[in-house]
Amino acid sequence: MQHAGLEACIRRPLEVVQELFIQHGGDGSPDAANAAITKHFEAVLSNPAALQQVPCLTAATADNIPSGTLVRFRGMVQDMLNPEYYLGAYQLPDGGWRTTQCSDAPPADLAAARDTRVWERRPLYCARVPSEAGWAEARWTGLPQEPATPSAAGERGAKRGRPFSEEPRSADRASAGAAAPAAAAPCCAHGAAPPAAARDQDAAAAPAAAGRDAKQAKVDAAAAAAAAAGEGERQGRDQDAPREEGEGAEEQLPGPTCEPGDCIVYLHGEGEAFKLHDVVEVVGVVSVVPGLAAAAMAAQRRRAAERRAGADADGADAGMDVDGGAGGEGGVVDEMEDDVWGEAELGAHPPTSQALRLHALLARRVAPREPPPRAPCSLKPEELRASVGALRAGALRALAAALGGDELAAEYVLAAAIGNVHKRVDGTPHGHVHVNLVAPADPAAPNPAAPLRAALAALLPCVRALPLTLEAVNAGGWAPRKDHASGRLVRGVLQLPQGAVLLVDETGMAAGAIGERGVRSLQALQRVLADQQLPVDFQFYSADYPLDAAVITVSRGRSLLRDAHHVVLPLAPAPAPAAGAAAQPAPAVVPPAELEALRDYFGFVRGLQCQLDEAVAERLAGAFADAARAEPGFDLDLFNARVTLAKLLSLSAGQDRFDMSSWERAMALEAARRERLAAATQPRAAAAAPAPAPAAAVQPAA
Amino acid sequence: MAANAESDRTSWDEEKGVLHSFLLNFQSADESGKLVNKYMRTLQAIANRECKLLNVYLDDLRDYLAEVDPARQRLLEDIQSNTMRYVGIVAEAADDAMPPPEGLPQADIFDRLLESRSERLEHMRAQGGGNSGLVDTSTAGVDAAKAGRLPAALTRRYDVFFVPEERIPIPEEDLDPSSKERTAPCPVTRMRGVNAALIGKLVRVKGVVTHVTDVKPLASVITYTDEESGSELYQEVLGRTFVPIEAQKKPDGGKWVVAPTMQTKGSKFIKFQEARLQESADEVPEGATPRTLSLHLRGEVTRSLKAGDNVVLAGVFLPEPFSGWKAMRAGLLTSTYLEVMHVTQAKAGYADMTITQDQIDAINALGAQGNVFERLAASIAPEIYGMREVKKALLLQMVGGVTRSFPDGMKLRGDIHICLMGDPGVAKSQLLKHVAKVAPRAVYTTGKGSSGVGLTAAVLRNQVTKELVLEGGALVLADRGICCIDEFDKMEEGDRTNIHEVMEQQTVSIAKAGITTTLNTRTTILAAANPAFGRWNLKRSPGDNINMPPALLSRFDLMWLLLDKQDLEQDRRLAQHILSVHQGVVAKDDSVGDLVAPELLRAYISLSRRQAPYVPPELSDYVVAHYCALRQRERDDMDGRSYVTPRTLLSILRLAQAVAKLRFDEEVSRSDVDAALALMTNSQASITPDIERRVRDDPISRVYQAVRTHALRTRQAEVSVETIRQLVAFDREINKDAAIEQCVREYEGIAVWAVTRDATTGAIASVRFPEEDIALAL
Repeated sequence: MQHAGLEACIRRPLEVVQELFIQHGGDGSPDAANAAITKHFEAVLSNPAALQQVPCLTAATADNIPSGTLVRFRGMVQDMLNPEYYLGAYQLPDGGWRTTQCSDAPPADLAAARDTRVWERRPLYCARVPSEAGWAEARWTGLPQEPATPSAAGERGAKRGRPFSEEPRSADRASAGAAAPAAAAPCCAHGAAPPAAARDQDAAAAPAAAGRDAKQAKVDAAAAAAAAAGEGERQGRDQDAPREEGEGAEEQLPGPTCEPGDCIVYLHGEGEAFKLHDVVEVVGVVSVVPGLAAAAMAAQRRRAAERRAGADADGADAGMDVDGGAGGEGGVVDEMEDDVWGEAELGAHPPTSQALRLHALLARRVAPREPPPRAPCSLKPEELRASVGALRAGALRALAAALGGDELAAEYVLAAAIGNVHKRVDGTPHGHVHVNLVAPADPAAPNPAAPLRAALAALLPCVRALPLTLEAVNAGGWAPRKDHASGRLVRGVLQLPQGAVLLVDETGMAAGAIGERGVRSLQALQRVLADQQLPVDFQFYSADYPLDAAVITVSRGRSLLRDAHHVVLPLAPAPAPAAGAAAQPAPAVVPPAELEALRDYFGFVRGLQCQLDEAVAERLAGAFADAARAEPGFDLDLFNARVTLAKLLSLSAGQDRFDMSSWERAMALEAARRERLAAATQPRAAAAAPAPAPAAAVQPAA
Repeated sequence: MAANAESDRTSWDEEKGVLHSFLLNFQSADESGKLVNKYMRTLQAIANRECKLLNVYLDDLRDYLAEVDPARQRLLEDIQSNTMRYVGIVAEAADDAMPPPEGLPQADIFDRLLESRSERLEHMRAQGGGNSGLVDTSTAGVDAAKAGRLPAALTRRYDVFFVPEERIPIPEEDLDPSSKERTAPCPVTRMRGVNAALIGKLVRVKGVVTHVTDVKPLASVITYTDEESGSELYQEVLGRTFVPIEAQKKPDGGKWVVAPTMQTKGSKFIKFQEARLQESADEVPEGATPRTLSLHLRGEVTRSLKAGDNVVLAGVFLPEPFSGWKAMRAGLLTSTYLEVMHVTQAKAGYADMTITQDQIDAINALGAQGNVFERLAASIAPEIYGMREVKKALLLQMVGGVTRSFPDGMKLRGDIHICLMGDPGVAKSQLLKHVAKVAPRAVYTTGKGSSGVGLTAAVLRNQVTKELVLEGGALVLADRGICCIDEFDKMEEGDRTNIHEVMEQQTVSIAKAGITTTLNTRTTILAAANPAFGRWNLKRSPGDNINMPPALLSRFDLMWLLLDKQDLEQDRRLAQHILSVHQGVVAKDDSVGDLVAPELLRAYISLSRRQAPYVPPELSDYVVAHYCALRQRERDDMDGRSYVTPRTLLSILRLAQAVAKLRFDEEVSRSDVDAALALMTNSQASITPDIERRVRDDPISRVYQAVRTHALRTRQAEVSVETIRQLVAFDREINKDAAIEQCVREYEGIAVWAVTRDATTGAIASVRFPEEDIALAL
């Protein structure tokens, strides 16, 4: 039987799978058939041009792809669910075996089957790779990048996540979480009825503050959250439980949410074992199951009815239910659905409008530092290697422009962005230089956080911005937590793939109390900074998952996470041109061709590893002794940080062999930084001259 | 179809016969050693209404079949692969084997119903016909044998559970002829290994229970009253749902004209509970999230689990297939659950660190190589060069001494408290952080950062239940572990007094908001303090330099002063260490050979903590002598630099016990006390540098030290006099021969070593240490 062509594989993959199974799967066991299926699809899709023809599955394109088509998907593993057992093969009365692999609907001839086999499949809950800008995704899909207008993001969110017009339960965040983007988008101002959960402000604040991929300024999010909360409160008054329950609801932690771009990938057979936070690329069959949405709706109706019944029972003088609190809408208890869809099943099978379903045929783990896919105008590798110096200068220019003309800071940010954990000694990760940029304390000075974020997002594939405000911290949920009722991990902001850059923005921090959840969130952040481990709470124990993320913090004054950063650098933006001189427009915009080249540069440079050999190590040891004598307080940690900085500087120049010139450069940078630190503390000392010995109070974290 | 039913029936009967004879005849030894019929005793208890549980141990069945009926060995495997079928068979066999009750049990409602039912059945049968009795709701038609009788499930008062094998026979080739063990413990299946291949089989898994629902009644036999004939009909319910009888055909094939009414009072309900089990932390592979498994508990197994338990469960892994219109909704999904048969609570306790056999072998190998103490100590924070003695003390602290409580209530603590003082930048904090990472249970905190609440405990109000709840702070959390407190001197006064109590009484008293209680905190404290004036002032006493009252100082067993010496060579070495990390090379500390990996270190410490050596009476004189010498020396100094109190005596003992623990010995030996004293001397020496010099100045001690170190390193008890001369050759300040002569004579006098002299000239030929001293010393 000849191999089915590409067209058939894309349009009718289920038929192809069935034919291959009939050929190879004699007695209903999956193994031989799986191997044949994998080989066939690999052969058909071996050509990159062929692969490009397979449609991509993203939040935007999902609506246009019919169920049962072959698609490709790329995402980060956010959660791993229990394996499922399903009816995999059945024997027809005439003796032949048929399979139901990769499909969700029971076939018509199942009722007449003579014998059945139960197979296993492993679901992975994949989320979109967190990034602030869509260029990486655009490169991978091959489609033009989505325009990043807030209304588009809001519309997408609204279309995705508002299937039911009723108020969702507090524990079922499925609609609340997806409805929050609708609330948070500016379009909520014109009164689109957001079914935001009324009771907890936390719930509205949490997804809003949790760094969504849509481009929203922090300010918008905060304002929108407030607006949503206000709206929600007005709306949900009638559904509001008595006050004590409202307090209890603050303790009640939000359940898992579904965000646009989420997809459940079902892996069949024995394959690569994927780890949490891996980025995977999958080719498989998409399936849409309306029954799940119906089940979720029915469950919601049931819960609403229960809650109403509970609320009515709480009311003191309720007495008789005149029109039947349990009656009315929820009274006609749907006999058809009972405990088929318990909490756990609903958690594992959210409706396909919220989380897509994909049965994988080929799955591959994307290596952590793999450069992003090439754009049409990308340079060839030789050209890239040749022009590394020029590209480095271009990158520095772009970063410096974002930081207001500060080139020293641009050097440090460049080094931080290239860092990666190359070794863990006894649990301590080596290879990162976390940078704390201290903006001038004057509130009138421009806030470098937003331009820096835009610049980094344009250059690096995976950037997550984390605004550190009191509400965001108290909302908690930064580290993932297992919700045992639904059996899923509640998504945490700090779930980042390897090679991400975390931009922490402390400029919005104010004085106030931090509650217990806030303390835990901050502790999680500190662990990420110090150990590069993310603690996940499984209720009875807490397990650590390794991360590899560079952290850049922007703060006014010293950072809250003191001593966790390797480098503290006060920003000194270039002075504004003198009044009267012709105002030069800052060259903020990098031309697109250069931008693509810079992205490739970063992709290339981040994949290098710096080698240190014996001879150089000897010389460095000598240099350490000199530096120890020259600088007071020069200790091991500082030496370590400086060697790492030197390595990263040499990597940024494209060299993967360390030499002493990088060390010299690092020393020069550090000297400049120390001058700046001294200069920064001095004016403060001068200003506070009457106070005794303020210099002692301010310890430069050199 | 009929032929199948026939053969099923015969095999059913055969197997029932085998199990019947097993229940009747199996004998095993009870507590007093007598052989009794174990299962008959249980059945008798069931008949007397004292017990409701029949546990059939597959170990017993295996032994019985091996002895009595080897041909039927397959029965065991069949039970394990298709357990639920055999539950029915065993229940019938047990019913047949049930002895009559002894005495007259109290009749309850169940009996009365049973009586009236049997009467009515007899009546109906006498009248000829009638459609009462068991209604078989399977599609295969009514089983004639069962019609007209009360269903067994209705009359049975007990539950049958299988307990899977806990010991499996060792196969022939692996039998160790020296040991008498014929069976080995059966390994527990990993939860990840429970997959589709195990559906229907009996498995044992372990995990953590996450949540447990309430116990609810589950219908097992439904009773109906047939309006027309007045007879009772019974329907057995095997799953979670059932189809009411009026939707089905009558036993004789017709349709129900008047639907029979369901009698809930006469139906039988059993207890039912659902729970969820999560994979335990040590079974989760790296990078994966833990799996969960649903559990169903029926009958007498209910109420044996609660959330948070570490359990080993035995049960049958069953699918819950959806049928009918549920199948349409669910598609192809099958949900699975584990029907629990037997629950064992895993031993909870501090020693949860499971030590694998590989690690034990590695530890033994370590011991064989020798020099264990030095190597282990050097493996703590290897990048911090030097500080050998400090690291040894930290190692002893992690192992701890022996806690003893006397019947009259007095308690001797076994924890060793250590305080490190010194100039800033000497890597004290790094050392503390390292200890916090290595020690099996440690908490790291800074004196400044934690309030009293943070260090000890707090009273909080629980939001949901609005009641007050005690929450432990760092010290309580580190119960039976180490609390590393950085910046000890910066603690507030209030916290410091708390620390007083914790360090000595090992309890924390809380009197807040109406709750007064004492919490146990058997913690060891490792403190790091900065000197009061920024840098250590050598001219002042330690008491002045450290901002701590002498009472607190004396509670620390050991104190070290780490001065920052500008040493070029040391700097270079530190730099080398860092660079080796960057290069990717494992650091080697030359003088002590390879360092021990952190995992092995942790395992070693965990294992050695479990020992409890005692101090033999003959050692007490030795200890007392040295203690008196210490006190004497302090009195001579007369400048109050060290604080030797009777507490010091206990400290010496604790340290010696810790060293003995490291050697996995039950008895403390003299070399242990020597090692402890060496540490104490070193610690005092660090505080008062001139003592150090004075000790060093004594040529006799120097000779002795040199000889002893050589003997330990080469592991030879005999040291010849030429070797001694070589050892002291480089030391310019000793008048060699005289010093050697005097040293040998003096130490011979106190029986530290035996001297062999040349027979003719009478000159010293060699000295010999006692064998045990060298072999046992680390």
